[in-house]
Amino acid sequence: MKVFVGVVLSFGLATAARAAEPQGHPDLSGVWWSKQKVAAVRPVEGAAIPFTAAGAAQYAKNKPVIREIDSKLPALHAVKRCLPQGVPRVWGSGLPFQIFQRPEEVVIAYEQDHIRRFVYMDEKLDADAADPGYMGSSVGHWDGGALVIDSGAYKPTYLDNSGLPHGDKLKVTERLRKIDGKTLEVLTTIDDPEMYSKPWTVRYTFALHPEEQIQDYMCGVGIVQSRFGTEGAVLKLRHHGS
Amino acid sequence: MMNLKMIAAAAMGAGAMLAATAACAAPDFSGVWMVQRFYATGNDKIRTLDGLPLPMTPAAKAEYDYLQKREADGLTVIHNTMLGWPKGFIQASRGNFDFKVVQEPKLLAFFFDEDHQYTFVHIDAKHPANVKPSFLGDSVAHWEGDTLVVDTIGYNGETPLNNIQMSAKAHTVMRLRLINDGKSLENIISFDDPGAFTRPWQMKIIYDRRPPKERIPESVYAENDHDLASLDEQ
Repeated sequence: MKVFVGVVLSFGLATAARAAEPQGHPDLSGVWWSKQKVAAVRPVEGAAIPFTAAGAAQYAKNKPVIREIDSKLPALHAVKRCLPQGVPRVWGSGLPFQIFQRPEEVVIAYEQDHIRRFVYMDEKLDADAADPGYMGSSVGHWDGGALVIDSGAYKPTYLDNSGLPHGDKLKVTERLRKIDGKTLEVLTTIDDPEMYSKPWTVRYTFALHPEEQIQDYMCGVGIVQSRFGTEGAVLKLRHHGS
Repeated sequence: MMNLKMIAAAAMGAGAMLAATAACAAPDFSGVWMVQRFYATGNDKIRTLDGLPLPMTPAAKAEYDYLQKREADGLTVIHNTMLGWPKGFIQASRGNFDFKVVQEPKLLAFFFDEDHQYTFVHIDAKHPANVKPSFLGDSVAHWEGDTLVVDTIGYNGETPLNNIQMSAKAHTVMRLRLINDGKSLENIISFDDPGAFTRPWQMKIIYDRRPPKERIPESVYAENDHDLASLDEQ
């Protein structure tokens, strides 16, 4: 009888525990937001960015492109073209994101350009076999209280808004953990021997915003008009009589 | 010390809790889905449930004819695809691409392969007083038995149904339910759009469940914008 009562009680307690910590891991689900845009990332180690010669040269080439964007000229650039921004840049977008946590998968939906990432848990990353993507290909595992995401197979992107470059072999490791009940820390380690002489890490923090909802990001409307002009051929031809 | 009556009462209480949970449990739409071929994208696949012709307004019909003629003449039709603009739930779910549903008690998230779009449907929520118009509109939902009823307003007038353009006055209601032992998902869509249609009408789409390990790749239509450069010559 004691066993039966114990089973009944444990059922209730286990249910409550699952609600608080899904799958026995910290619950990272919810809407997170840092309203500060990160223009240029810097290593958390405090040192200068460890460029290789190739990395420094590429960064110097990228800077004029970024300046062109800043002056609102029609540069073919990720943001102006509504292309996904890549990692770690998307963490610094200044817009919220929502995490969905499942045993087999974690989904991160960023408001920025409706970017979403599917992180497949307890699988092995095969970056050479994966199709390249702007957000790469990601697998995850739990390391104590941290969700560790390993990613590779990236299409060309910038690491930040200042134009930090990366090469074909970029690997990114992200460690997501709650540092208190309402703050999420994301440590993003860049490992790219072509552009950087050693791995280096960027730190972001986000506050939990349960009252917020992810909005429909409107990339494209104003941008298309600015690129092609409101009287341009593209918009004239789109609609009858326009 | 606990007697038999107390234990029986505890057991009955636990049983009642389980039964109540089961009774309240919403159907699980989680998984990956793809439109059935019969309902897949194409102007000819937009059919009214009552079998009557599509009740387009004269303005919508003129737009439709214009786009159809461009296609017939071999000219480019500037779909949302080329501009990197979302197509909205209905059109994105009609393409020959997968979409994934992630379901939570108060939220269903629909992640489309088509142009990496997604939309969130909040259960038992209300539309904001001032909806900001967008391609996907603002969606709220509730359960009616085993049917998820998704009410969407706030379209921006640039959301297509193939070559038919929904207006900013569009109001759609989708009724989604599992059929075929959960292997398929039925979507009965009601359109009330006085800008594009002369009367409300309904269409049906059925999606089939994909294998559990099916993955949604990254598709980015904004990459197609290079094609736009040639349009100045037309």
